[in-house]
Amino acid sequence: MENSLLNRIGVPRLIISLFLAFLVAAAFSYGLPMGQIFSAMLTRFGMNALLVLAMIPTIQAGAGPNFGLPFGIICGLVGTTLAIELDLRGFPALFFAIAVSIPLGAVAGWLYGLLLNRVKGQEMTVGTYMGFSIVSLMCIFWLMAPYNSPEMIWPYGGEGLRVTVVLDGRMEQLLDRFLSFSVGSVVVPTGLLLVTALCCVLLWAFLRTRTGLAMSIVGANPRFAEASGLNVNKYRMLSSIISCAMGAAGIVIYSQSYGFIQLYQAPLYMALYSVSAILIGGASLQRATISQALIGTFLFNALLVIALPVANVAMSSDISEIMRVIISNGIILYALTRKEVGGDAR
Amino acid sequence: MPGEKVQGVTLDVKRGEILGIGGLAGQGKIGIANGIMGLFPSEGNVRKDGTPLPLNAPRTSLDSRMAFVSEDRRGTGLLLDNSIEFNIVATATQVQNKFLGGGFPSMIDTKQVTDYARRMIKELDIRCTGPTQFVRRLSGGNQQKVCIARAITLEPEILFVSEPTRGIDIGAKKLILDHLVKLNREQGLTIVMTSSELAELRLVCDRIAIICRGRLEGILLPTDSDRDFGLMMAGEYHNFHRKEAV
Repeated sequence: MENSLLNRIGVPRLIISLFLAFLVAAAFSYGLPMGQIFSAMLTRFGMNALLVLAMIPTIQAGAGPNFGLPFGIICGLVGTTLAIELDLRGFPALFFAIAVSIPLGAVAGWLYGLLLNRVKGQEMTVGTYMGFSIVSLMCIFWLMAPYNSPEMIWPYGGEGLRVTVVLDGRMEQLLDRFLSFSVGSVVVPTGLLLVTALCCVLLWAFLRTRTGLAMSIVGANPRFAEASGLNVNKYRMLSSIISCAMGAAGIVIYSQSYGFIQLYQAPLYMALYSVSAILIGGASLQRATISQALIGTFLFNALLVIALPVANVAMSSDISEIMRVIISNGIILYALTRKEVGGDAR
Repeated sequence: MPGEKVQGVTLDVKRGEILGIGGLAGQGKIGIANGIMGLFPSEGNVRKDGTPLPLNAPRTSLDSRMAFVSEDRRGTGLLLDNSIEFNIVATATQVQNKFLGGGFPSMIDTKQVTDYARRMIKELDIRCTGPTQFVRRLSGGNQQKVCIARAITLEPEILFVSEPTRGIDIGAKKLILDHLVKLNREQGLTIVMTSSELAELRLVCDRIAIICRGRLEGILLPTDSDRDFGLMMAGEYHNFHRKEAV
């Protein structure tokens, strides 16, 4: 019993937390602006939380982490660009974008679910490549789509969307600033965190309904589920629909906080970040909880936020981009090769 | 069928009896319960109280108040990485909307689940650290008790039990058999018990059907002679008696 606390936290999370604490201490000693850093941590946590929570339905239903998340994300981008095209501003723009994104994401999830039910056991690889293909396919869409808003199309030529569309004055940091307050020099993005909390409560409630339980049963043991009269494919499909819809809404929230939407190749690796965040949080490929998703999102993003400035100062040269890639991909590699992933540990 | 096939079986199960299905391993006897419960593709006619049951539809079988304790304990019978309490109530939440609280959305009532699980743990003497222990950590016998608890939770009229004592210790064996008999005597539960262990069938059953080479060889009483059981299990009963008649 003496190491039960350690078991509960898990060695990986302990190491990452210690590393984080070390970096925070280092940042302090270098005299970095801690207020800014902590604000950025909170904001990035809120930005990514819904995208990471989107992993839970598919993991619970036995389809593994949703590597096809870019499919949902693209639906969210379509929703956001439509809001700009209609020249909406403020909360109407945000709500419109989310309201359009969710049904589009659900349709994407349905299509993705059709695919997933044909490739049981290989969801991760197939999902990754499907995500890649969709992102590439959508590059053509972004070029050809008949958008007219001068804020989005290329200034010259006048056709096709830009790579980065600025949300300034439309919905930039709308949620972040909502009811926002400062503690010392730390700015708390209240609206963003409230939305995250709301999503958590909704997901929590859903997972405890009869349908949510059915999804977990299907994921835990498909044979058992069949013997309990459940249609395994139906619930796998449902999980994929919910996950992609969450991804679609998630990217709208992400973008409003980020201040830009990034089109073309940008959604390519979004799934990987979310997958690594939830794995770092202690989820396995078969089982994930909301708290694991939240812990993982925080650790992953906090590390990303603080590692760059510290590395920059410590190395006294501009290697931030290199460090960013090493750190973020290192975390992904670590998370995916983690030994304790798998069911028999207990 | 699960690796073995059974065909041409015509069998009546009487209300309130314990019917044994016996025979040597691999002769097809576990196919009957699996087929009726819709877990493996099957064809034919099944009637319960005169009402025909569609085959290959697990949900309809469950809705017709039949429950099944599978011989494939770890594969079909349990959610190994879930708690004992969830294993016990999982099927009931889905098939009968039990243990779901009122209100919207209707969520699982954890208190009710835990209370019920504690009662089952006590009743079936499941040796565990508590209702939230993972089923994977239990011994085979205690896992089997969880399976039976799950089936009883559905309050079935007919309970199919396949190989209930395979691979479990002798104490648990006795407890499980005693409990099955108790359910039968006290609640009038009809039980169809499939087992490779003739001795235990003769101990608890009212009648014993013997399956040989995928066919029903005959039905015996537990008091019939060892010779008849031996002949039936070898598939020589009818040959032998024909010769005797000549």
